[in-house]
Amino acid sequence: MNSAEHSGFDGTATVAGMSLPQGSVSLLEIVDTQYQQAAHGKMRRVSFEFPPATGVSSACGSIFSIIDRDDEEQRRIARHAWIIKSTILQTMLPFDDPRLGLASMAEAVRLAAAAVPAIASSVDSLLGLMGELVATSRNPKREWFLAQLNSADKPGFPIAILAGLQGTGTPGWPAGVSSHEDFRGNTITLVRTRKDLKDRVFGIVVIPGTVKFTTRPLLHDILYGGRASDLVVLAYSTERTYVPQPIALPIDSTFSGTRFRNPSTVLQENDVPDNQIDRWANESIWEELRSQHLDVAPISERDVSVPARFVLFADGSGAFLPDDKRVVELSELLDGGGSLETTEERLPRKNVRDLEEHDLIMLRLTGSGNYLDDVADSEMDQAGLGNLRREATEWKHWLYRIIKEHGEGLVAKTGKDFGLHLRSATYLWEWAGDGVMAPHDFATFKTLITTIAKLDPTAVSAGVDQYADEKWRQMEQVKTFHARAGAAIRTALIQRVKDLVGERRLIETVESIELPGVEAGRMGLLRVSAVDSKSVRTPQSRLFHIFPLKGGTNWQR
Amino acid sequence: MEIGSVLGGVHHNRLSLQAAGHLRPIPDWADWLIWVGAWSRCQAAMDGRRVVVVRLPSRRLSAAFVSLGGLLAASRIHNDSLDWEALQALPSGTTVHWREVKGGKSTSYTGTVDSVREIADSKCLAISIKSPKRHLGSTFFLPMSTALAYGVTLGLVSNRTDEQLTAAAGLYKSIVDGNPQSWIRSHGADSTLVTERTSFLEDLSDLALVAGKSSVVAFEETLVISSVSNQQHGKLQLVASRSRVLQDAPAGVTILDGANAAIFLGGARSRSIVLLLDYSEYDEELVNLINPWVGGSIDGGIHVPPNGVMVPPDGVEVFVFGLPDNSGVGA
Repeated sequence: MNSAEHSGFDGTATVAGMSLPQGSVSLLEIVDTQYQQAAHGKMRRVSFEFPPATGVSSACGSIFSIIDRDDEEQRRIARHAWIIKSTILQTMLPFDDPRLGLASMAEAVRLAAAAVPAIASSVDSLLGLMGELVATSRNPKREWFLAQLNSADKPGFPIAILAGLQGTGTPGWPAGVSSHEDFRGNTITLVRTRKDLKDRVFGIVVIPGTVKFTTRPLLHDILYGGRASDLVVLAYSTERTYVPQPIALPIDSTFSGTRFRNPSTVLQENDVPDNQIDRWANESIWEELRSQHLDVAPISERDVSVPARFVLFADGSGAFLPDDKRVVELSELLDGGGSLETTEERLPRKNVRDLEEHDLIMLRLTGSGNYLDDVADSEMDQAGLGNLRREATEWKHWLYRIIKEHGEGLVAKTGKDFGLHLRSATYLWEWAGDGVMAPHDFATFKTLITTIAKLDPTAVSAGVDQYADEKWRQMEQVKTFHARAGAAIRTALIQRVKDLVGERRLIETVESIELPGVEAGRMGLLRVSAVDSKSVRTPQSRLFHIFPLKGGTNWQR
Repeated sequence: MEIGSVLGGVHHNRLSLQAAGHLRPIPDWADWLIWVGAWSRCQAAMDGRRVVVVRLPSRRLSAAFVSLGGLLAASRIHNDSLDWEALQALPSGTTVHWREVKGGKSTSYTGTVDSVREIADSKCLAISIKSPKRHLGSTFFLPMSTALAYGVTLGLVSNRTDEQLTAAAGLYKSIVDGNPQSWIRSHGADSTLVTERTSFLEDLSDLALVAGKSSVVAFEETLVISSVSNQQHGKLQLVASRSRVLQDAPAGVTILDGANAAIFLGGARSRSIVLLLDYSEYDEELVNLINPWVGGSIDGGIHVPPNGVMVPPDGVEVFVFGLPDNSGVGA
């Protein structure tokens, strides 16, 4: 039995005066549809009375409240309980679908719980309910969806199901689920990452569970980006649904009378046990990972800490990547059957903060730190210029000392008096560190050296102009070596990537890339499996280091 | 300057869009974004500083429409005599470019500014010619009228650019009261757009603008894009979001396209800044970034047209705040 404000996939989902673009459409039409749907869209909840699901949720909540989460074995039971509960509440597959693995999960909980008598009765109750669900296989969310699909009078109506409620590893949505085979629809899209939304709009987006832990960019794109005019949340009667509201904009007097009201229904949640187990299961992993790296000390005074986020890879490894940098990302090329033109000089890149699951990024697999620097250093050595980098960047020590002594604000202010324009005073730390070599032009560099000399006249013994000239010339020399190293790496990489594209190679976890003729390390393409939503300050020397995670590919379990 | 008369002289309602070969009217949201660009550009020529923050369902294409509005207003505000003043103020040694049409053939010249000299009671810009080689070493004396007619620019105007400028000027002329022909060839960039260059240009690739019965002009061409890296002349300076330093055109409007560009809020010199964000980008991190500016904002410096501001379409949110004149590291 279900209740809803509206039902049906056709009439209710069409906004008056608006039709969805069909077939080959221009970007303008897609964007225009997004604006219209964002302005007139609505959200509704379809609620199901289904006691077995409610019972599972309650039994899992009870197990979670009893176990000792400081004990590693008992933590594992809690995690099992969360996966079982989330699988049953979120899936739209029949409960006896072997891909859900409910039988093996039940067995794992039964065995683990044998050592914790306090949870015996809750586990018994849970196992009984699971047995009942698997035996009947009836799934109300699935039944509702298929019934609507059958009754819809618009066969080409585009529908999306948000399968990425908790990323690509969302319980209840195993990787092999196919929109065509499992939901009998040619116009159904399973949305797991934001890439699945690119250049697409829908009539309806079905949300099969709570979005509390859905990544923010994906969720806000669906809720407020006009991806559909009708957002349908499917929920069991006791299931808490949650809709994050956009952060309110400050009110000004100029546009105050024109404020737009978001059309979405506001659904509140309370801090009930259900949510406690969800929050714990979704956040404890990241908290553990972050805590493992909190005590990493900088290796030198120039090893500046920068905001970075932890990225987990499908092979069970992970790395901290700097928030404000870009990395080579090839998923569109290698998964989407894209082509790399022979004239292409650059590989596609993506901001670290925009990375999402299923991206395919290129990192150095062996060695540490910056691949380019190492290749360039090796060439400098061969040219008898082994000290060049140190000499060229000696001014960084002085800049670092001056910032520490006077503070970045005063240094920026002094620089401003000499005409130094910075996007932020904190950027001085970047120049003082090893992340960037120097300001982008000589005039800015000279102003920076003038600023250093003003604040510490002993730092620059020769004339400021002469010193700036010499250091700039040396840095230009270093950059020449960088350029040569970069060209060698890029040529080899592009050739290798072209080969991979040509071979239509599917990369599930990692692909090692040997670069003929390029020494100093091995590169690899790594499949992203999760990205921490929060960044932490991490020493630059720690960035890009790949290390295995405890538990390998089962880190989530 | 009367903001109402400037905005009234920009007839963006005459524009249509051609997308993938199909002609259609400008959508409401795009029309509003053009208005925001034009309004912000008008204010850049007035007292005070201000930031317009716009939250949109989708940020794609939005920067192009705001930029277009800014450029249309700039061409309306344009004053030839100020161009001449600016040319006279160029430091000696500055490299400049111009084109001369003789016998139907257009020749490109490059030279360096020597000085301003008085010849026959008239001030002339003396330029030492570097190319074409046959004129190397000779000095060219450009009186005001000739300089403005030729269009002396800081960036190079290739044959292809020259054609694009002509096409864009034709379209502007159909929409804007005034003389966009001389504005489009005036010496430097007017406004600045900080964006992800590749995706921005890709998104524009199948779009064109049509005004009345004029020919169809590719959207990218109407934006008259210049780039610091290729030293081509243009009116909209395109800066990559990943750039480390922003040297925006101070007289125009600076458009920050997305959260990655928002970091330049403190470094922009322009008196009018438009920050474009979609819902997913307007997060706690972004709020922390803009809060210092919002916290230090003032009521002044926001010039509302006599007939009020244009109401944004549903789904679009906006707020505007004034900044003290000395705010921002780069101000």
